[in-house]
This record gives sequence, structure tokens and C-alpha cells, in this order.
Amino acid sequence: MTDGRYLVFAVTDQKYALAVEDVAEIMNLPALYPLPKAPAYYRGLMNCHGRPIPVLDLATLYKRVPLDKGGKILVLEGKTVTLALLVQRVIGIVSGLHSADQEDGGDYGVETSLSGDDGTIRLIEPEKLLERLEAEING
Amino acid sequence: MRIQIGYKFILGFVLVVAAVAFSPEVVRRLGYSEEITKVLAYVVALTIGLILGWIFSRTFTRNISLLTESAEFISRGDLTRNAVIGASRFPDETCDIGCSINRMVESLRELVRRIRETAEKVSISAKTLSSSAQEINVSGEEVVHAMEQISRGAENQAEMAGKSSRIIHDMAISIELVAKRAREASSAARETSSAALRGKELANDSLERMKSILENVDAAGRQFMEFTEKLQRVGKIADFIGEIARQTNMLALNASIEAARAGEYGKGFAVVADEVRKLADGTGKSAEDIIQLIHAIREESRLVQHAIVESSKHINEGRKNVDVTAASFQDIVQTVLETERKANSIADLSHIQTEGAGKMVQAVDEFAKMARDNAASTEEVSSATEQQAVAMQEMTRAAQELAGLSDTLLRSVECFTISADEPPQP
Repeated sequence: MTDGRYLVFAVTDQKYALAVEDVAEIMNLPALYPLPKAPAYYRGLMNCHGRPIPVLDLATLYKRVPLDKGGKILVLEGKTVTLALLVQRVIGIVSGLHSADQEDGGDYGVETSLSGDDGTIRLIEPEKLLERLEAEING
Repeated sequence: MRIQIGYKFILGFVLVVAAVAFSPEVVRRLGYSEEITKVLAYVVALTIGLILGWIFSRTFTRNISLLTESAEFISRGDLTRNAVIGASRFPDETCDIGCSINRMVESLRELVRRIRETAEKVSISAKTLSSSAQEINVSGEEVVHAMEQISRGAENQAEMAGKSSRIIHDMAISIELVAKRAREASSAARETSSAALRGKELANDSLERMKSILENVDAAGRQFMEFTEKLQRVGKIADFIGEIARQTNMLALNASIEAARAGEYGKGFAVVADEVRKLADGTGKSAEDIIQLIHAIREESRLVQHAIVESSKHINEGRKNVDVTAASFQDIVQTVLETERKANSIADLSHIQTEGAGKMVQAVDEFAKMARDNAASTEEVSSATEQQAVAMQEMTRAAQELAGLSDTLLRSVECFTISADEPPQP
């Protein structure tokens, strides 16, 4: 059991969580500008208070059904890079989650799952997600 | 010059006496002897007397012979010949007798001709009369037969007239019943007319009420439309509230994130942000409930509006039906009034028919009486015709007898020949 608080959100029918400390801001989906020659899960660039930030579509990344419209943007404030995640909907901030099983690594940046009252939630770790993305881009 | 026969005989006698007286003197002058002269005188006197006698009797004898011959022809019935007396310088009574015989022959000839012609005409007329009498007799028999048929027909006519009288009497009773029924029908039509008028008034009242209901339904429809519009506005407001709640929720989430990022210093703020997020969640759920409720109300209102439209249509159709019903009642009133008028007319006509039937019964009775009289008269005529037939038979026999008599008369005068080219009759 951890004392941390997590921002829980959903990508299609799967719940995911991010540590609140990793999230900078929640936004409505703004206008997106396409990024040439980028992989399909990069939906484009968004204007976040004057800064261009790439938007990563988790549904496409995790081989799930892409969103037609709507969704929320989670802006991740990393140490080296700022990234925005497009998710289907934000469920809320949850605390008191238990660490459950280790994930097989099928989803980028997910190595641990948490369990709570509403079932199992996959925990996304931004650093590992970035590592995996960089490895894919480089390699 | 006409000389009677007596005078001729006297004249001849005188001449013979003169010849006898003067012949001896003449003979004496011849110079013969006394004896010879005497003998010769006698011979001469005798010769002169014979010659003069022959001369004087020759014409007379010839005329008498002619007259005898003519009388003989007449006695045999030959009227073709006239007594032809030769022309004489001194005609006498034989010429008169010849002329009389000729006139008698001419008269007989004319008489026989007329008798023949008359007998022939009588014979033809008698035959025609007999034929006509036979035809009349046959016709009389036919007339008798026809009169018997007429008599039987008149009896049948009288019987049929009696039956007709009874039938017409029954018919008059039926007509009276028809008149009674027509009066009852008129009364019923009057009652129907009153009922139809009440029905028409009720239909008009229903029409007015349905118009009022329709106006109320239209007003309710308009109010419902306004209600629906207001409900839509409420829905929009609820959407706006929901959107605000979502924005507030997102702001509360961001506030919680900021509080978490603030660390220990942000814990109180995190609690406030969490409460705000809960309020936003509750507001959002309430807004969502309102929106769902509005959707449900909208669905219900759509059904209600559909029901109102259907009701309006039904009421409109009902109003049309009531209009038609009122018009039908009006038609019924007109028809019933017409029926009442016709029923009254039927009653009046039936009354007139009843009177006419009574007169017809009387006339048929008189007709039956006349038919019986006709039957009696035809029997009398039949009897008279039979008597006439008997008389015609007698007349036929009389005509046949007359024809026989005319034939007998014709045969009687056939022994007279009046024309030279006729063959002699036995």
C-alpha cells in the first residue's frame, strides 16, 4: 500500500493511473497541428500556454480503439521533456491504491498495476514511457 | 182504188152476164149456122165467164191462201213471217186482214220477246233471290250462333261484372286502410320531424361544443409548444450547468494536482479542491439528471403533443362528422316533411279513390244490369233470328218455285219463234 495519490483516467475500457506529481494540468482537447513524418500515435502539436507540446494518443499507442472526438489532455511535466497524453475521460484523483501484479510490458510505460475498490488500474510511469518511445524512435 | 169483195163479185157477175148477153150477137156476126152459132155462143159465153171468173177470183184466192198460210205459221208458233199480200190496183178486205195479221204477229212477237226477257229476268232474279235467301239463311244461322255466343258472353259479362263489383268493393276497403296507414305515416313522419329537429339542435350544440374543445385543444397545443420551448431552454441551461460542472471538476482536478505539487503546504488546499470537485461532480450529476429528466419529459411531451395532434385531428374529423350529421338531420327534416306531405297527399287521394271506388261499384252494378239486359235482348234477338231463318227458308222455297214457274213460262213461250235465225222449237 502507498500513500500516493493518483489521477485515474480511462482509455476505452481500460483504466490507467498517473501519479499526481507527474501531471501538470488537465485540459480540454484544443486545436491540434499535425506533425509530419511522426508515428500515428502522435496526434500533433498543441499550444499549451504558448508552448508547443506533442500530444500522444494512448488509444492508438496501446492498440485500442481510437477516439473519434473529445477526450481530455493530460499535460505531463517532466524533468527534461513536456508531453501531453490524449485520454478518453478523467475519472478523478484516487488515493489508497494497492500495488498489485507486475505487468508484462505490453503497454508502453506500464510495468505495474494497482488495485482498488473499482478493480485493477494500470500505472503509467512517464519516464519509462519516454524511454520506450525514444527507444522506438531511435531504433 | 179500194173495192170491197162484194162489189167485186157483183161486178164480175155483171160482166159475166154481159158477156153471156152479148156473146151470141158477136158470134152471130161470124156467120155460122144457127146451131153452130148457138153452141159457139154458149161456149164463148162460158169461156168468157170462166176467164172473167178466174180473173176476178185469182187475187182473192191468192190472198186468202197467203192469209191461211200465215195463220198456219202463227198457229205453229212461227212469228218470223209476215203475211205478204201482193200489191193490187184494187185492194180489198184481204189486204186489211193481212195488215191486221201482220200487226197481230208483230204484237205477239213483242209479247213473246217481253215474256221471254221477263221470264229470264224473273228466273235470274228468282235464282239470285234463292241464292241470297240461302246466304241470308246461312248468315242467319251464323247470326243465331253469334247471338248465342253473345248471349253466353253477356251472361259471363254479368257474372264478371258482379265479381268486379265485389273486387272493387274489397279494393275500396283496402284503399281506406291505405288512407288510414297514410295518416298514421304522416303522424309518424311529424314525430320523426320533431325528433330530427331535436337531433339537429343537439348536433349543432355538439358542434359548438366540439369547436370549443378544438379551440381549447389548440390553445393547449400552443401552450404545450411554449412549454416545450421553455423545456428546451431549461435543457440548454442544464447543459450549461453540466458544462460548468465539468469545467469546475476539471479546475478542481487541476487544483488538486497543484495542491499535490505544493506538497505539505497544499494539503488544506487539496481538501478544498477535493470538496469543490465533489460539488462539481454532484452538480454535474444533478445537471445530468436534469438533462435526462428533460429528455424524458421531452419524450413524454412529444407523445403528449402527438396525442394532442391526433386528438385535434380526431376532433376535427368529429366536427366534420357532426357537420355531416347536422346536414343529415337537416336532410332528414326535409325528407320527413316531404314524406309527411306525400303521406297527407296519399290520404287525400285514397279518400278520393274510395269515393271513386264507390261510384265504380255503382257503375259496375249498372253495367252488370245492362249485361243481364243485353243477355235477355240477345236471346230475343236470337229467337227473332231463328224465326227470320225459317222465313228465309220459306222465301228460298218460294224463290225456287218462282224460278220453276219462270222456267215453265220460258218453256211455254219457247214454242214461239220470233227471229229467223232461231232454231225451230218442237
